Amino acid sequence: MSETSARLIRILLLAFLGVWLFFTLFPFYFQLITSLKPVAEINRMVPTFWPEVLVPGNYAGIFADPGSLKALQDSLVVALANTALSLFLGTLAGYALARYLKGPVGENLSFWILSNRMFPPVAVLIPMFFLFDNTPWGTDSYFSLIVLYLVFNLPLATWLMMVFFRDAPVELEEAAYVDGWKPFQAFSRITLPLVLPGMISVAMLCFIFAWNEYLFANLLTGTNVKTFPVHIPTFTQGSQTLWNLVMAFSLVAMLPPVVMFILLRRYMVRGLSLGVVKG
Amino acid sequence: MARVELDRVNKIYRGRGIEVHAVRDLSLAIEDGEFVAILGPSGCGKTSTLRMIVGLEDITGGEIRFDGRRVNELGPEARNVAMAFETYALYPTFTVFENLAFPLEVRGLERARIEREVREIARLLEIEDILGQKPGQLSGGQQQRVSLGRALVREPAVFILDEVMSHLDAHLKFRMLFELKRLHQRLGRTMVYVTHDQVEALALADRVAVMSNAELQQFADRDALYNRPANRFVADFIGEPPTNFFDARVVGEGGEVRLVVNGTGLAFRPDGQRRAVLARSGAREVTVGIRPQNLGIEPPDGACERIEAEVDIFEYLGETAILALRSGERAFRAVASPRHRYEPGTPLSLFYRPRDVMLFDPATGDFLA
Amino acid sequence: MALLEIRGLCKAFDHVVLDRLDLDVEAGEFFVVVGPSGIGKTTLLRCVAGLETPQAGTVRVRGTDVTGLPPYRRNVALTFESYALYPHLTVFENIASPLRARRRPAEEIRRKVREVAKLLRIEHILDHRPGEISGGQKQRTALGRTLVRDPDVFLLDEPISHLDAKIRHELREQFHHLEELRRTATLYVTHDYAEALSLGDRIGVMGPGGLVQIGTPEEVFERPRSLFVARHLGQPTINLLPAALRREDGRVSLELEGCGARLPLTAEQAAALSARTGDRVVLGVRPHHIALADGAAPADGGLLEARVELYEPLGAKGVLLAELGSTRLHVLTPIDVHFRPGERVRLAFDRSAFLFFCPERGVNLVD
Repeated sequence: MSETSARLIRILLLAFLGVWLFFTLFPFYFQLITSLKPVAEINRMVPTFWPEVLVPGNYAGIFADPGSLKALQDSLVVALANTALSLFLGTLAGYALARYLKGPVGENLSFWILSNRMFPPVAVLIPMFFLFDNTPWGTDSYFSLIVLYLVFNLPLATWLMMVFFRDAPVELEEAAYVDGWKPFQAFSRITLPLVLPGMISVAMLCFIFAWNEYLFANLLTGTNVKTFPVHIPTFTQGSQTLWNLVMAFSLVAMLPPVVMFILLRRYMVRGLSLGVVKG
Repeated sequence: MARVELDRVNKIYRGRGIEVHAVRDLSLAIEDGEFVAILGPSGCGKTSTLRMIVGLEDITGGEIRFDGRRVNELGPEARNVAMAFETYALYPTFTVFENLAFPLEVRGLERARIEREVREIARLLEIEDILGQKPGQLSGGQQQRVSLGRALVREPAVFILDEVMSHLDAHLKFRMLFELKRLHQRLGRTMVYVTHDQVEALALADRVAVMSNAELQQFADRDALYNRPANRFVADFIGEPPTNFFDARVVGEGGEVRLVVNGTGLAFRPDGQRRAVLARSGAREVTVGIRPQNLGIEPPDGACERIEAEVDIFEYLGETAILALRSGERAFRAVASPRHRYEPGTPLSLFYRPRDVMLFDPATGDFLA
Repeated sequence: MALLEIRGLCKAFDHVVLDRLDLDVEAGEFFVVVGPSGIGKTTLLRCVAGLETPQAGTVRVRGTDVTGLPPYRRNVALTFESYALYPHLTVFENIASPLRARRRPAEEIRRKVREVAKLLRIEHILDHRPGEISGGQKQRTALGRTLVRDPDVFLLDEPISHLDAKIRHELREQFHHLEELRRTATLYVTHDYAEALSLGDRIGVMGPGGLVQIGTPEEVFERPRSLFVARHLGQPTINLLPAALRREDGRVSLELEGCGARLPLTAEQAAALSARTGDRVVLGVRPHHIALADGAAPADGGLLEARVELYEPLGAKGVLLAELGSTRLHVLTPIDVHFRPGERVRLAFDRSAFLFFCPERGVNLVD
């Protein structure tokens, strides 16, 4: 390839990247400046893209509001508990599927498990409401959300963990048995560390789903428990939406997954590629 | 058909402040129709060299010419080189026939012609009976032949083989060596064979380019590599078991020169030609190299000298045997007949011809005589 | 009683791999199983290690039946062909693993791992992870994990076959020196006949279903009981020539098919085969038992003229492919000779090394 055409392709690629970056980053920028604007400036017909005044007070308001803090706390409890449960059960189930159910039975079973995830959630909305209404904890509880989210996260976690366990060589476990380790010891000392990157990726996916889920949370909970997606609509008062608070609050709500992602990114990428590279 | 020239070719990989000089000032001229092997341990630059010849890697410095024409700027498709890979790289969903036909279909040949050429190649490689099968059903040797066939069917000017035997078991590898050599004799194409296995390289190639540390060490035929290795690296790398090396002092003068190995009872006597080289250089220290094949329990015909040692291990290998020997703290090896087993600890006399004593410069490792 | 006793071992997957296999390995013995790849050598080791359950038969170690025990209740050490090193643990922790499983005190673990590492010359890489070390070092680490223990049986699965010739050589010598392996029984598996001949006190050649011949390296290589064994050991493969036994003036000789040449037999061979005169046999001659005769050598009937088809220098030896009538022969030559295709050469056969096989059943007729 000649020098000039190589340069041309480079320029085109950079231009495309620029457009793409604008489309993906602009909403975040607009969210950020909106969260720092006073209400009056937001309501102007021609929106300002460079804020005239910055009002950090919106954030102070969020942190001073017990309702907002409670929402964040509820979200954190539900998402963390659900992630932990999904990961624990998914890891064990995935391991069993990978090691003990090979051939067509395991193949079909694992696909059936994954297909639960493809079920349209709305279809089970009403039955779920009645189901949880009959538990001692009722619908409006941590329990209901944590268990309900398992319906979506557990199949995914099981299936992904099964893929990761399949990629972890059986021979290493066998070597551990020969070394004298008993099956569970071999599992926890040898196999588990190997799929740790995968587990972290699974944890991230589960956490993000549970953190952002709105539909079920809105229907089942709202008084005792109120996760942040359900809390956001309360910033609308009558015909007035307090966009500055909505944006400030949602920015704060973005922080936990983002921080988690940054901290674990290194492992997560490795985990995802562990499954991709093979085959 | 093509004559391939590499003229002071360099390859430097740059990234994140690190610079790796993978190939340094490599010059090679491969004659039209010649079978050349590029041999070296992993990381010696042989794969980078091959990728530059094929056109998969750009050339940092120097020039590669095919029949005198510079090809540095040409992509692999324009160079008319074919390559067979270590991993076969067969298309798993295609039958053997489709695998072989693919390079021809890409060039838009008509159906009947493709059919004819594929059959011809299949006959040459004796894979006609498996044309309908998929690669997954084939043995390693068959896959290897299909992979060779796919490269051959294009009638390339230069045919490049990258470690194509390394996955085959010993019996099959042996058969394939003969097949490949016969194939080359029949086709008369320029072939470049890249390998880390000296046995394969010596068996197949007219000439072997030995590489180490990004540089060409020697480009010569088997006799020269074996008897006049350019340096200690080549002497060590070529030959199995590897050459024995001893650091020795030059003692005595004229016809009485002895090379006394420190810390042992060993002393070698070189022949007149080597004595002359030593006298001319005035060296007091020298590295002595002697091949295990040239140390024998029976005295050879003609002039010979002897050394004394003790048996450490007797390795019975069927056709032959290897003696691991010891003198003082120095261990070395000799090749012996398998007919008689020697117990560890047995004292032995070993004979060698003074002209088989190789001398190397102890500092640079260069071949002296 | 042998230290390792295998009786009637049967194992089938989709086809029968081991069919009533019997094997005894004595204390202090180094036993090598050699055979083509995929024949079931690894399956045999896995049955002894407890990683496979045989359908029938017993495995006894020091007189105790361990057939039904899982690997962690048997005291056997196994190296895997793939090394199976734990990628997330350091070389030190890899070697220490069997000791940690037995909850040995930390001080003892440190001492033993260092000892083994010193023996195998990998002390300097104890802090590295398997991903950062070379193939030879990985192999040594895998071996270290085995040697650090005090097992009843050592099981080694192709431990050096994937390494370069030079390192293989070095490690073969190291196996000769390892007294740890000689303290107890060792069962070593390889497809490389040279490794087997070099290392084994006794070797067993594995064919379809089980061991087809057991003996010392010399016995198995020089007096193979069947064509299968003769063909599997040796590089280049043994030359097999169709022939017929003839009797002339009371002397038994061999007529080669395809070229009509007659070869006289030794007295013992003639005696052993005299009852079969007229029969067709397969003559086996190893390539190193055929020499190139100088033009001046007298033709006492052991000399045959052949045409050079191809010559390959192969490491320390050369291999000549010669055409003798309609058959092809491999001849092992010294390294410093040259041949051109089409050239005619005279071949001298070492008659004392002739092997005779039955063409139908493949058995050795003289043994």
